[in-house]
Parts: sequence; structure tokens; C-alpha cells
Amino acid sequence: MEPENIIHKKIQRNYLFVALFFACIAIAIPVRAFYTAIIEGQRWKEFAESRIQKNISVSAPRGNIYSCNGELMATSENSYRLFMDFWAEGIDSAVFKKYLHPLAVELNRLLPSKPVSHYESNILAGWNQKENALKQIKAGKKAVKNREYRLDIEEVNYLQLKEIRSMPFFRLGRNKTGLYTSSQVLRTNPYGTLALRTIGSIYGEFDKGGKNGLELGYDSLLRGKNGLATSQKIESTMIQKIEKAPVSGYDIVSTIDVNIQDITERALIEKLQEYGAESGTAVVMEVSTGEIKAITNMGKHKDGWRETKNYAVSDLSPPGSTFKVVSMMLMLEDGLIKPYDTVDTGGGSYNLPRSKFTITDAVRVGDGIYTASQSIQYSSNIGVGKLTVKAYGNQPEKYVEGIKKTGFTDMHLEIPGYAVPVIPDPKDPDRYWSGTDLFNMSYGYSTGIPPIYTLTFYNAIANGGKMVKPRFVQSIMDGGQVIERKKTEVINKHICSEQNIACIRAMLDSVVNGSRGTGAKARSETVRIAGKTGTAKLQDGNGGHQVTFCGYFPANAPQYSCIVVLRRPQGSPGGGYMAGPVVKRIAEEISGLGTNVRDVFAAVDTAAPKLPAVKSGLFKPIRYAMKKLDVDFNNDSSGQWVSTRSTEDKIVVNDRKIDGNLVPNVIGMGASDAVFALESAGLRVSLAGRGAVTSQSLTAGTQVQKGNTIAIHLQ
Amino acid sequence: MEAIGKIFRGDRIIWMIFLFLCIISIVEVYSASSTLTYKTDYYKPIVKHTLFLFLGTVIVLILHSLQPKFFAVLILGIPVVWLLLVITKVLGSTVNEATRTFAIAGFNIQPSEYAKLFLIGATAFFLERYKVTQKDVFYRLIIGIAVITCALIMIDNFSTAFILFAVVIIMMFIGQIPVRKLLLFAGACTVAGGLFAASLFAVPEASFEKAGLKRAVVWKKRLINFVENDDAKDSKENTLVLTKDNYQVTMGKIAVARGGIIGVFPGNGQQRDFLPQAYSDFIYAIILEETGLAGGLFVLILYIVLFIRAGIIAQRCSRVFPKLLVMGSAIMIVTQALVNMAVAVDLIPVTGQPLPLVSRGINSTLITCAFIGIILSVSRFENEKGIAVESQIEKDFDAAAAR
Repeated sequence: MEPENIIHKKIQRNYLFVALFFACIAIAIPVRAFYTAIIEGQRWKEFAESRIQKNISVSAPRGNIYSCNGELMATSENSYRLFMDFWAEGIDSAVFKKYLHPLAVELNRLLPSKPVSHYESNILAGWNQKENALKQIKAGKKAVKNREYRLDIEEVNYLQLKEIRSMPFFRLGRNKTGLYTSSQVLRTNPYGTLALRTIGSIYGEFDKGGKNGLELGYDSLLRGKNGLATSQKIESTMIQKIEKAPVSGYDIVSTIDVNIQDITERALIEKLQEYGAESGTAVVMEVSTGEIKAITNMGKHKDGWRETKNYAVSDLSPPGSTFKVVSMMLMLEDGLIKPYDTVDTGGGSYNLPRSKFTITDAVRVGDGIYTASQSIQYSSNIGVGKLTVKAYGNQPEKYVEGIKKTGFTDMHLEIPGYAVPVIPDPKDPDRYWSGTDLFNMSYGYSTGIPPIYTLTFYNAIANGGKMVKPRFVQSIMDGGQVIERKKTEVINKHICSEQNIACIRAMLDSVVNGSRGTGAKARSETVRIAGKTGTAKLQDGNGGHQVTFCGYFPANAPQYSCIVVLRRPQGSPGGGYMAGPVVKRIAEEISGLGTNVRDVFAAVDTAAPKLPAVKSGLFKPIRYAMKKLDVDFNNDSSGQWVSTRSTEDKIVVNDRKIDGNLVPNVIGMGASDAVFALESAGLRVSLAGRGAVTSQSLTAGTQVQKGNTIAIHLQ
Repeated sequence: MEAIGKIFRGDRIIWMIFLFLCIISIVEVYSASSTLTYKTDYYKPIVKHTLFLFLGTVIVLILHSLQPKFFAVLILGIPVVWLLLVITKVLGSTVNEATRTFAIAGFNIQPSEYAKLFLIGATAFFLERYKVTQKDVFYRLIIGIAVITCALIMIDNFSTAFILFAVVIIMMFIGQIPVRKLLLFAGACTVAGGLFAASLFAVPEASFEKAGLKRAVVWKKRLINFVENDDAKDSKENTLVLTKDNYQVTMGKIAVARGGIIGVFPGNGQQRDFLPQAYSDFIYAIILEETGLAGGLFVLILYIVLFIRAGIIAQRCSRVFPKLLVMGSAIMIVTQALVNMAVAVDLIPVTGQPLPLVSRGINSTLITCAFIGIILSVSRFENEKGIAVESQIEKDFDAAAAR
């Protein structure tokens, strides 16, 4: 055996050998790293860059549009299309086949529009497609690997998608089922077609933005600023990294009041239906501010009435008799007549001098000799025409100038595509000024004036002569903060003297409330309405008439002005009896809303206070409300749910049995109670209308099939 | 300063290296484990890792206060490791076709890491026996234990088995087993290895799967990949197509290239998002990306200094067991470090070796700390000057106690 110290030396020597070997590797490592980093560095960096997709646009969330009370009128929502990749590595054939049927059952439960068998066969078809391709490949032939089999399932929203992802089989996840989605942003209108043409819509391709209405008018504010992202493939998935965050679009608070809009729409549709009209327009404007509270353009479709072209701002039909008021005002203001000046309308038929035209009046009152006021009250074409020709016959340009100065020029509305009034001008070298033009214009022909301009004029009368611009937007908001509050714009401070305004208002009042006024059908017991009727032949070559009523209410202290136009009604046309009742109904219902209008009229019925209408529903809140309002009711009910009935002097409350397993009776309930009752019973609710429930699609008292959808209609 | 010296005794340089590596580890693991944080909160992975390092420090403190002769008990760990390896095979969780760990009380135990410690302890112990008795039985014992241990590990972790076996051979070479015997044995091993490699290509993959040797397919792929990859690179410029197989290497190279000389600084790395094991197998690539060649060189130098220092400590030893124990510990640490770095810079095929003390992972961290503790212990007690210092400290303690 070698001596101890020699062994130790040898051990140390061998350690040194190992150290030398390690040293070689230790040198190789930084050399190699240096080579990669410095010599090859550019190439690797370029390669890394090439894997990054730069400047990918990230869509900014589009702003919402709200009603003036904060209800959502237009918003964006993701919708998802479902795909299956049957070539996904983790799909187990046995598991797939075992759960296919339960899955189809669940899909049908969630989306009942298609039967179980449809879902089952549709998914199976995709599976078979893959199996066939697999056979082809195994047989050495070429086959297409379809990794994106589109399921024939409607596009779903996020909540539905979450539910689908928890269904049998699909809950196993992307790898084991191949289920994946592509999403797109949809613009939805929670209030359906309510004021849809004015709210507007956007293009199918989301990024193209607004197509019409406020969506287009305020597109630049709504759309926000798109962000930028880079995208990089990590193993097999693309990962997006946001470089510049998108900036959400601003929210727009419109002036539309959903309640008034709803009232207006229903009132309009009722008469459109009754007279079989082709289309109709109704606009409600707040007198002092010019805010458009409701605007509707209803056209007839196969399946009922739908928002159609925005006639309110774009239609250039002759205004008809509503324009007589403009003529009358100008004559008064220019001091060319006095309200009590008379005019002989003859036998109700008048041949225009030096022309073959014969003008007739729709009605004839007394001897046909009218004061100026009466020619408005009875809407005499001959009366107003003769007066106007007498006043301006030798200076028609003064009349035309007066019209324009009043405010019938471009109002720069917020709704893209609005029209500007067409008013013939004797000074216009391109248009022949005919001898009959003045006469025709005076009672509303030879011109083209969009309804909203007529309304603006009447609103000015209601507003004491101050003409304000109609507005559709109240404010612009950014993340809940108001960043701009739109102000009322004055177009014309005084369209005429206060004295003349009073004159005109008296005339308009007499149209509705005077004896034999053409607007008698607009007369209301609860709201005093003033206004003017109009009936005009449509000039587009297809014949027919358009009937109008334009006015304001309450006549003594106007709050709202309103115009209603019906196009091509069946039967003998008349603005007074066709459009008048629409305005009447709108006025009455708006007064019933508990807005300020009510205060003006509250005094009417103090002697016999009316009982409030009480909806059926949960007893506790009903009892609370009735106690607070000192409403008499029988307090002997004990159930959770009650139905209510009004008698002359009190509310009668009865228990309503609601059993968890039976479809509840929700007739007479308000929306929230009805939905609560139905959802508690395990039903899904699809709801339409507003007010109290008037009908339900599943019969009350039948067995509940959990998850079924029940449609309820409220009115 | 003096108080610190009384707690952290032994070789100061080893302590310094330990401290540096711990700091680098905390910084780089924090940066590289970003991919782990998206499922939990930001600090959880790094808090856990820091806790492991703290636990490791406690182990270092405990072990460095023990007399080196006590480490002979390491041989008792061998049968325990064998048992653990078998248990892992039965109960363990499978990652990437490999069953390397099994969970006890929330910790994933990786027996192959513990095998490193015990096998090196046993080898040093039996080499001393061999030196004293000159009996071949100890040589065979070492071979036997190493073969059984490495065979058990090899099923699921070829590279660790290979490295461990190589370290045992190196230790035998240092420990004065005649080169002739080692060459003979090495020859036998080469033949066996060659046959095995050939069988990888000869036997269909399905048979491996049936035999429970799914890993064989992975080895084959990596082997092919390493050989082919280099050829492809030279022949075609800029036509690199990323595949599943060259993905890690390419991402590692991009990391090195991005780092350049001084790096993009800690926290600014990008490749951690693309490298699946950025906080472990490829941490050196992340270090190169974030601290550049300069930082990479510094880390490399830390290990080299550790190796040299261990040699100096071993030189002072008057007995063979502690001497070989220190050398073996240093070789084990440095081998793993070099393999990890070599993988990161694409010198050798991809294998899952951690960078000792730097990579994230409780098993590797604790075992490396044990090695450090052993080295420190030897530096304390197998050193005349050291012993003098120790006794002075003891005296001070006694004096303080007497007061």
C-alpha cells in the first residue's frame, strides 16, 4: 500500500484532471453563447421579430345610446358562433358517443328553436365527416381535414355560451371535445324598434360604424379609438399583447323618453291600422328646450308595423294646411291684415284668376264670409289664399323672404340625411315663378317641408315666439361622467311680436276647441290642445294624400308640441279626424305619466279623487304602497301573491295561489313581479310591451316543464 | 460582523458563492416564473421559492455544524432512495411521459435528486474503505449500488441517471480505482449503451409503449433532433421552421441573442413567456437574456470558483472520506450547472437538469444546500487553521457563558 500522503497527492492530481476537463466545457459555454448572441444574434432576433404580428387593431368598445331616463337604447354585445374540431387530440370516441344524446337534449333545452334530433344529427354529421376522412387517409388517399366544423346552432350570447360549456361532453373542454367559438360584436337595441330610425343602426361589419340615425350622426364619438396589439404564436396558440389600449367610445344620452316614445308609437299605429295607411310619422318635442321626446316613423310590413325611413326629418311632401299658419303669421307681422279682416270665400270654390285652376274648400261654414281667424279655424284654402295674394300679390319675394327668415332654412339637424325645406323663390333664375305659386304656397303647396320643420315652427308659437332647434341628444358621457351637456339652440328669438303670437295661438285654439273647427277631433276633456290640421295631395305621382295634425298642449301653458302625419290613409282624407285623435291620445297619455303636465291639470278632479291603478303581484310591496298613499283596501289577505281589482272607492285584494310546480297566473302583474313569479317556477321569460301582463303563452295551472320559455305580453 | 461569523462558520468564499447564487436565483426565478403567476397571485411562486431557499439555508447551517465523519450515515439513505424510486414509479404523477415525482404533504418528492446526495456519500465512503482495505469488494459494491440506483432512475430520467453515473465514475477515478478497471467497465458500458441506442431505432415505438418505456420514444426524438438540427442550420439560412422539437432550443437562442453583452436587465425578458421551463431547465437562457453575456459569465465563474475552492478545502483534508465527499459534492453541483448551461446555449441536447441553487424546485434546492452544508462542514473541521478558529470561537462562547 502506498503511503497516505502519496494517495492524497494522487487524489488531488486526478481532481485537477477533472478540473481541466470541466474548464474546457466552461470555456465552450460562453464561447457558444457569444457566437449565438453576437455572430448569429441578428438572425435570431429577426426570426423572433418575424413571429410577431404587429399593429393589429383592437376594436374599441362602442359607446351606448341611452334614453333621457337612462334606459339603454343601443348597446354592443358579443355573440358567439360555435365550431367543433373533431380532429382535436383529446376526443374519445366512446365518450363522444355516450354523451351525444344528453348533449343534444341540453342544447334543445337552452335553444328550443330546433329539436333534439336536429342537434344530434348535426353534431354526428361532423363526426362522420372526420371518420370518413380518417378512413381515406388510412387507405392512403388524400382527404380534407376539416378542423372547423360549424355547428348548426344559432349564435349565442355570453351567458348562453357559458351554459353550453357546462353541458355534458362540452364541459370536458377544448382539447377533449374540439368545441371552440368565434365571436363577433353585435349591436343590440334592448327596446326593440322603439325610435329605431332615430337611434339608428350600424353596419354589419362592426368597424364600419354607424349607418344611419344618431349611430351615424355621433359615430365619431361613439366609436372610440381602436388600440394596437401585437400577436405572437406561443406553441400552437396565438397570444395577443395589447401595446396601446383601445379607448372606449363615449355614451350618448338621447332626448328620447321611452315612455313618451312608447305612447306615441302605439297611438300612431292604432290609427295607421284603423285607416289602413301606408306609413306614418309622429314627433313629440319639448316646447322650451326643443328636445325630441319621441320620434317614430312607422311603415307597413308583411308582419305588422315597423320603423321605416325617417320621414320626420327627410320627407319633402307639401305640408298642406298646417302651412296656412305661416302665411297668416307673416301677414299679421307685416301689418298687412288684422285678425278680424274678412274674406269672401264664395261658394267654397274659386277659380284662380288667369289660370285654369279651381280651388275648393273642404267645409263651408255660414255664408262663407270669414274673418282671417276663421279662415284658419275652418281651414279655408280660398280664404287664406285670397288674403295672401291680396297682401303679397305685388311683392311675393317679401312673402318668401319672410318664410325663410322665420326659420325654414337648414337647421343642421343631428340626424344625417335630414332634408332642407324646398321653398320656391321668385328671385330664383332657375325656376319659373308662376302666377299661381303664391296662392298655392299660402295654403301649403308648391313647397316641400319635412314634418320636423313644421313642428319646429309650431313649437316656436307654443314657446312664445322663440324658435328653438329640435335636439336629439341631451348629453355626451364618458364612463358615467357627463363631458358635454347639449344646450338649447335658438334659431329665431322672435318669429313675430308677442301680440301676434297671442293672435295665432287664439286661432290654433279655435281650430280644436272652437265651434266647427277642423281639429275638433283632437279636443280633449283633460288636456287642452291647440293646433292645425292639414291634408295635402302627395306629389310623388302615386296619388293619395297625407294628413297632418300639428299642435301643442296644454294650450294655455304649452309643454309639448307634437306633429302626426299619416300617409295615404284609406277613405276620405282629413287631418282633423285622422291625425287629430292621435295627438289627442298622445297628449292625454303623456299628461297621465306624472310629468309636469299633470300639475297643470291636477286641479280638474280634486273633488272625487281617483284610485290609482294597482297591479297584481307580491302583496307586501303593494300593501306598503297603498298604505303610504292612503288608498282604501281590504287588509285581510294573507298570501304572498295577490290579485287586485278596483271598485268605486277601494281596491279589493284577493289571494292568488302560486304553486311551485304549476305555471303561475301572472295576468295583471307588473313586469318585475311576473318575471319573479315565473322564474321562481323554473321558467324562462320572454317579455314584450310595458304596463301590466295581459296575456301569457303557457296556460296558468298547467304543469311546469323546467326551463321552458313563456312569453308574456304587457300593456 | 463577528456575530455573523459565529453563525455562518466555515469557508467564507463558499458562503459568498451561496449568497450570490441565492440572490440571482430569487431575482431570475421571480422574473422567469411569470408564466406560473397568471393562475395564482403574483407573489405566490416567488414567496414559495424564497421559502425553499430559506429552508435550504437552515439545512446548510445544520449540516455545517456536524462533524464530517457523521456523513458516513449517508450510505443508509441508499435503500430509502431505492424504495422511494419504486414508490414513485407506482404512485407518481406523470409529466411528459415521465414519472419523476410523487406528492407527500403538498410537496412533490423527486427521489432522483436525493439519490444524488446519498450515492455520492456512499461512493466516498466505500472508496475510503477500498483505499484502507484494497479489497475489490468495495469497488464492486460501488458499481453495484450505482448501477441499481441509476437503472431505477433511468426509466424515467435518463439524463440524471447518466450524469449521476458519470459522477460516480469520475469519483472512482479520483478515488484511485485503477484506470484499467475503469476502462474495462467503461468499455462494457459503452457497448451496452450502443446496443441500447441501436435498439431505440430497431424496435418499433409501439413495443416500447407496451413495455411501459414510453420515454424511449422521447429519447429517440431528442437524439435525432440534436443530430439533425445542426445539419439543417448550416445548410439553409433563414429558412428555420419552428417545430415542436426545435422549439425550446430556438427560443433559448432567441433569449441569448436578445441578451447580447449586457442584457435587457432583469424583468425585461420576453422569452420566459415562450420557454416552457424558463424558471428551471432554461433559466440560464433567461439569465443570458436579462443580464447578457456578462451576467452569464459571472454565474459560470461562481460555479468555477466553487469547484476550485472545494479542491482547496479537499486538499486540506487529512482523511480520504471527507476529501472525496467534498470533491464529489463539488463535481455533482458543477456537472449539473455545466449541463444546464450547455443545454441553454445548445451545446448538448435538451435535458432537464436544473441549475443548482438557481433553478426553481424544492428537491434540487434542498439537495444542493445539503452539498454546500457538507462542503462547509469539511472546511470547518478538516482544516488545521479552521479548527484553531473553531476552538477560539468555542472559547469565546465559554467565556461569555462564564460571565
